[in-house]
Formats: sequence, structure tokens, C-alpha cells
Amino acid sequence: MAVYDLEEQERIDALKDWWESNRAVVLGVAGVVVASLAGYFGWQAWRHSQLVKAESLYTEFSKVADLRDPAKLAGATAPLLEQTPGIFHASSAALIAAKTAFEAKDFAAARKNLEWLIDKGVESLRPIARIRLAQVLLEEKKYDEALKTLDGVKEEAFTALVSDVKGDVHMAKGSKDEARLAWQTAVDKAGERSAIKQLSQIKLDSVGGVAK
Amino acid sequence: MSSSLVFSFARSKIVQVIFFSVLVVSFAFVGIEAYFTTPAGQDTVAEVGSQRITTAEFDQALRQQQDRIRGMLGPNFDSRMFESKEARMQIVDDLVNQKLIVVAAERAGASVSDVALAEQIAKMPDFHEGGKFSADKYASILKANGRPPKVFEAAMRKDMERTLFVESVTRTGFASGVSAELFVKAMDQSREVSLVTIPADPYLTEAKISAERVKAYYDQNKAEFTVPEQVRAEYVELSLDALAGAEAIAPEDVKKAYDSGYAAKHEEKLAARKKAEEVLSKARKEPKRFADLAREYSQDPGSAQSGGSLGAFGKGAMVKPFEDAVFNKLKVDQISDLVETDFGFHIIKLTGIKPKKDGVEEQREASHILISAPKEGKSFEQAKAEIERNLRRDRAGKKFAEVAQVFSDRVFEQSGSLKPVADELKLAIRATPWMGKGMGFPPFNNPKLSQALFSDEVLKNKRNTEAVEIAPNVLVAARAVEVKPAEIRPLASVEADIQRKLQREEAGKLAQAEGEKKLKALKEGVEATVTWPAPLAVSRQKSGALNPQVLDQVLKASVAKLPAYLGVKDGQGGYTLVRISKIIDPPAPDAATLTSLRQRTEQALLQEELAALLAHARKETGVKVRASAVEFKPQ
Repeated sequence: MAVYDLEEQERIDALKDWWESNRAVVLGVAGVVVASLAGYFGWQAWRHSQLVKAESLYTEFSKVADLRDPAKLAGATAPLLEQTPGIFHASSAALIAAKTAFEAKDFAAARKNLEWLIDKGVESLRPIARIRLAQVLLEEKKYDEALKTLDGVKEEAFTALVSDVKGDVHMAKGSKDEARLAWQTAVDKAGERSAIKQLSQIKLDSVGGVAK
Repeated sequence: MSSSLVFSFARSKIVQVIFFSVLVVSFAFVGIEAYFTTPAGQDTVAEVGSQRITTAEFDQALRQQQDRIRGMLGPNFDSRMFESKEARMQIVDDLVNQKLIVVAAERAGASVSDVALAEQIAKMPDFHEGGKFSADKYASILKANGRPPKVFEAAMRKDMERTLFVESVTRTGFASGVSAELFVKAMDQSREVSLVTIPADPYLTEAKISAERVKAYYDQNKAEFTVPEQVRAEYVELSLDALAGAEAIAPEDVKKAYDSGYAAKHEEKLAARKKAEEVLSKARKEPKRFADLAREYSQDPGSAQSGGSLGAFGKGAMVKPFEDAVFNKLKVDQISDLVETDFGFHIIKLTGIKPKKDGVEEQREASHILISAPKEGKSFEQAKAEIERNLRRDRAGKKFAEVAQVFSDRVFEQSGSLKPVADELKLAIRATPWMGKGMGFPPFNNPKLSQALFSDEVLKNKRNTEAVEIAPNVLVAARAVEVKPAEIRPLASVEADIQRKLQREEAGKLAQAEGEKKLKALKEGVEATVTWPAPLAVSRQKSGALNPQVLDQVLKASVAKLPAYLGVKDGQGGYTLVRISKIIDPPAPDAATLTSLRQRTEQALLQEELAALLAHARKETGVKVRASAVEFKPQ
């Protein structure tokens, strides 16, 4: 029996030694796990509260958006962009506000909303914001700025669309040859049955196609 | 866990928080489990990121598409159009795009809180009781539909998130007026052109075709001279109508049906007629009291109180016998004889005529007294044919399913001949003339029957087709009597045709060579070789009788230098030389045109924005399609 007692004693001692030398690591790891769990849940909770807040601001915003009054709309858009910039609803509001402003010929406000999206909004909507910003700039006859904005679209899927608008800007600017090249690119890159292909083709035809 | 978000929404904040943290963990587990236990396998059509499209989803989409097309085409629908790879891949592509929208929404972080989800569900009228959301009704409806709240809420949430994402893009598009104007200008541009055609005909005599060329053409284009397989068929048809016609109806059954259904009504009608005759004689005696008589006797609740007056009405407003009396028989203030309609007996008085004026057709005013009578109140002689017809149809209808089963069984069991089924069911065997596939005479214009007849089993093995339902309650089975295999017509019988065809082609080439020579000279500035007629302006809207190929080339032609010249094959063998002398920009569009084109531009941009978003999501997510999983497999 004593043999067992001795072995037991040895095991306990070994454990004690191990604990003495590894205590810091074990406690540290446990601490990190607890902290990151807390951080994760904390972040989740914060995200959720942001989402709920954005939703309630968005509900108010939608009521104002239906009125199509740019001044009131600007007032309803600002809190979304400022207080919940990371939430999708803010980017959605920026797009709606831009359209309303554009249609009311308040180009500065339209630009401001789209520029905000390009800067701080949802990443996957940025190419669309750039294309629409270019439309605003084209309307204002700011051709070079429009072209620069379009050059900022790097996503390949948007090439046809970007080229079509570029063709319009070049044509409005009076650079027929560059317009031709751009519209030709749009025709080449657009999907077989897409509306933009037809649109670009008709415009391309009207300036006599690309010189062969 | 059967608790639902909506219930928890109603509970206290603390409970809610605990509930959500548990929920997050359990969802995570469901996700992981699903991911590991069902690897992509035989039933996977496509993988869109971590999401999957199964063969079941594909089959459902295929069925929906088939139903839609069937609804559009009716009897011309041919299920074979869904056997092609292109048609099936198109359906897969649509399914992939639906998933990609969900993925794109997720990646964009378009999320919806539990609060908003609960509000949305609480708004759905299906779950309302007494105008308010009822948790009990919510639970019971979901239970009745076999959907756990968790599943339903997850689906709702996905749908809301997708809608939020898609509408944020599709409701916010706009196009610059400059873009729209450019498009209008391009659309409506005119070009001033002169045309000279070099026809092929004068070159026909010059175009010599050797016998060797004819033979070579014949050898290389055998398909063109192949007469497709033809068949002479016979068939038997079983229809409910024919079955009804063959039913023998005993006279006493007709009598019985009359006594139980018609006799009493007939009595009623005779009494009504007697009454109506009495009223008529009163009206004839004192025509001035017509209105009083109407108030007293008329059984038309709509007009009795107003003395029978029906006001003014045009042709087509009243039932035929009534209209006949008012518009063709009566003079103003005249009182009609009894007029019988489905409503009973009318005594009609024409009270006024409003002639046609300012494009309004003639109208007439009339009053009437109605003595109601049942329309079934026919005499035995009148009702006999109708009763017999109904009895026949009823009896045949009861038998049809059973006879149809015998029909189907016999043509299958004794598949070597139609005689057994024809004898047993007393059907005629009918013969068809020679017919080719897809060119059948009725009933072989039915695609399903034609397909059955032209199958190997029927043509080669001389079996009966199965019983095919070519219309509701009409079955047909057929067999081939004689088959003429596809044959190639001998050279001798097509020689002359080939000769002519090649000669035309050759003449066309000669005309083209001549045209191209002139075109070259024109481009080098030697104008004198061609005499141009007076120019005309053409555009997309005004083709100026140019054929479409020529117009298309004219509108596309490079006009860097004017006049510009081009040559176009005119599609009739000849060659057309075109001189474009002027580009005419359209006048500034009016506001309405500009608005409509602006909308069109806006729509095109939007469509492309969405397409590009999906294309981008497709690239980022990774889509794998297993084409073999959707291939058509004949049974």
C-alpha cells in the first residue's frame, strides 16, 4: 500500500511542479480566451445596437425621402451617414438621396452623397456610386473630373458600363475618336443580350464606327 | 429549440439577450454540421460559394419554366425544347444568379435586425386576429404549414435582406440628360444616300456551270436532297362524345327524367302563359293603363315600381327576342304580343326612339310587364332531345374512365394490332395518307402522338403506340402500316435545280466583282463610272424602302470622309453600291421624347449595374457548375 502512496505523492508533486512553472501560461491563455470571447460578444452587441439604430433612422429617412424635398432629405440623411456609417442602410440612404438631389438639379448634394459612399460606404456599391457620380459631373459639364472618377473603377465586371459612360463624356467633350474607342470597348465587353451593348452600338454607329 | 424570435421580442430585454446568444451558438452548429455531413455529391448541380443548388431545386425550376411555356404555347408546346443543353444551362444560370444576389447582399452587409424582422412579421395580415398580430395564430399557421418558426424566420430574413440590397440599387438609378441626348441623336440620325444596284440577272448567261460542279455539289450536300422518312398509319380514337353517341336510351328513361325534372315546371309555365295572356288582353283594352298594370302584375323587381319603364338602351343590351321586338317589330306606343325569353313572358311597349347622334348609336326606350316562368318549363317534345343528350353524356361519362383503361390495356397487351381493341370497343380503324415527321394530318398534328408514332418501337418493330390523350377525354392509339425510309433523290431528278442554283450564285459573284471594281474606282476618286440617282435620307425609323441588310450597313458605315462609298450584297443575288453624301443630325427632341429616352437610358444603365454586380459577385465567390448533373436523360 505504501508503494502506492509514494507513487501518488510523486504524481502530486510532479503536478505541483508543472503548475508552478506553467501557471503564467495557463492563466494567460485562459485570460486571452475569455477576453476575446468577451470582445467578440461585445462587438456583436455593439454591431447589433448600431444596426437597430440605423434601422430606426432609416425608417424616418424613408418617410422624408417620399416627399422628394432635397433640403429635408439632407437633414434626414446626415444622422445615418454620421452615426452609423458602417451599416448598409447608410449607403442605401446615400444612393436614394443622390437620386433625389440629382432629379431636383441639386448637383452639389448629389455629388456629396456619392462621394461619401465612395469614401466610407459599402465597398461593393462603390463602383456604382462612381458611375453615378460621373453622370452628375457629365450633367455639370465637368468632363475631366467625370473621366477621373470613372478611372477609379477597377472592378473588371464594370468595364462595359464604365466604357459606355466614358464614350458619352468624350463625345460631349468633343473628342470623337476617343468616344469611338470607348464605345467599341463597351460593345466588346458587354454581355451578348445586354441593353448596354445595343446602346453603345447605336452610338458607335452614329459616329461611323471605329476606323479600320 | 422551438422558441421563436417574435415571441422573444415580446419578452424582457434580458431574456432576449440570453436567447440570442444561445441562438447564435446553435445556428453556428447547424451551419457547421450541415457543411460537414453533406458533401457536394451526386445531387449537387452547382456550388455558389458555400451554398448549393441541388437537383431537386433544378427540377422544380425546370417544371415551373415548362409550365410557364406550356401556358404560353398551349397545344404547340413540345417538351423536347427542354432537352437541349442550352435550355437547361439557362435554367441553372438563373438559379445561380438568384443565389448570387443573396451572396452579394450578404457580402455588402445588408442585414436586418431581429427587431425589424419581428416588426415585418407582425405586419403580415395572415397572422392578424382582430386587426392585430396574434402570437397564437402565428404559431398555428406555421405549424399547419409544417414550418418551424426558426426556419420561417430565417427565410423571411434572407428575403428582407435581399430586397433591401436589390432595391437600394434598382430604385436609385438615374441618367444624365447629356447621355440621353446623345442616344436620341444617334437613334434619329439620318444619312443622305444614293443607291445603284448591279443586278445578277444579266450575268446569268455568262455564268457557266459544268456537269462536274453539279455532281460535286450534289455529293457534298446530300442532306438537302434527302426526302425524310414517311409513314402511312392507322389509328383508333376513343372519345367521350363518340361513347355518348353510342349509348342507347330507353324511351321510359326519358319520360322518367322529364317527369322528375321538367313536368312540374312545364305546368308552372303554362299557368304563367295563361296569366300573361290575361294581362295582355287588359293592356290591349286599356293601353293608357300600361304603367298601372306593370305596377300590379310585373314580376320584374327592377322596373315594376316605375311602371315597367326600362329607360333607354342600345342594341346588345337585352336578350335577343326582347331586342327583336323593340328594335324590329314595334312602332312607338304599340304593345307587343307575348314575347318569350328565359325569364318568362314579356308584354312590351315601345315608348320612344333616340336616333343616332354625335357618334352615339341609336337607343330606344321601352316599358314591359314580366310574368316570370321557369326556363326549364318545356313540353315533353321540346325537352326530349335535350334530355336524351344529357342522359347519354352522363352515362358515357360514368363509363369513360373504365373504358379508357380497357383501351389503354388492350393497345399495350396486344401491341401487334389495333384490331382487338377496335373489335372489343366497337371502334373504327382509320387510315392516314403518307405523312412525314412534323407534318402530320389531324390527329397526328398533336406533338405527343406524332412523337409516339415516329419512335423506333413503332416504326421499326411495328408496335402500337401507347394510348395518347390528344385532348381532354379523347384517346388515340396508332400503328404504322407502311414505312418509306428516308431516301436521297437521284441526281437526275435534281440536276436542273442545282444547275439553276449554282448559276444564280455564280451570276451574283460576277455582279459583285463588277461592283467591287467600281467601288474601288469610286474610293480612288473616279466618280464618272457610276450615275447616281437623286439622294434620299434614311434613318432607323425611315428605311426609305432599303432592305434591312443594306440599311444596317449604311447606318454602320464609317463616315470619317464624305462622300463615303460602300458596297453591299443586297440579299437577292445582286450587289448595291451606296454613296453617303451627308449626315443629318435630328432636330432637338421634344420634352416627351427626351423623357422617354432618358428613362430608357436609365433602365439600360441600371440593368448593366445589376449584371455587373452579379458578375463581380460570381468572380469573388466562385461558382462551380456540374453540367453533367442536369443533362437530359431519356427514360
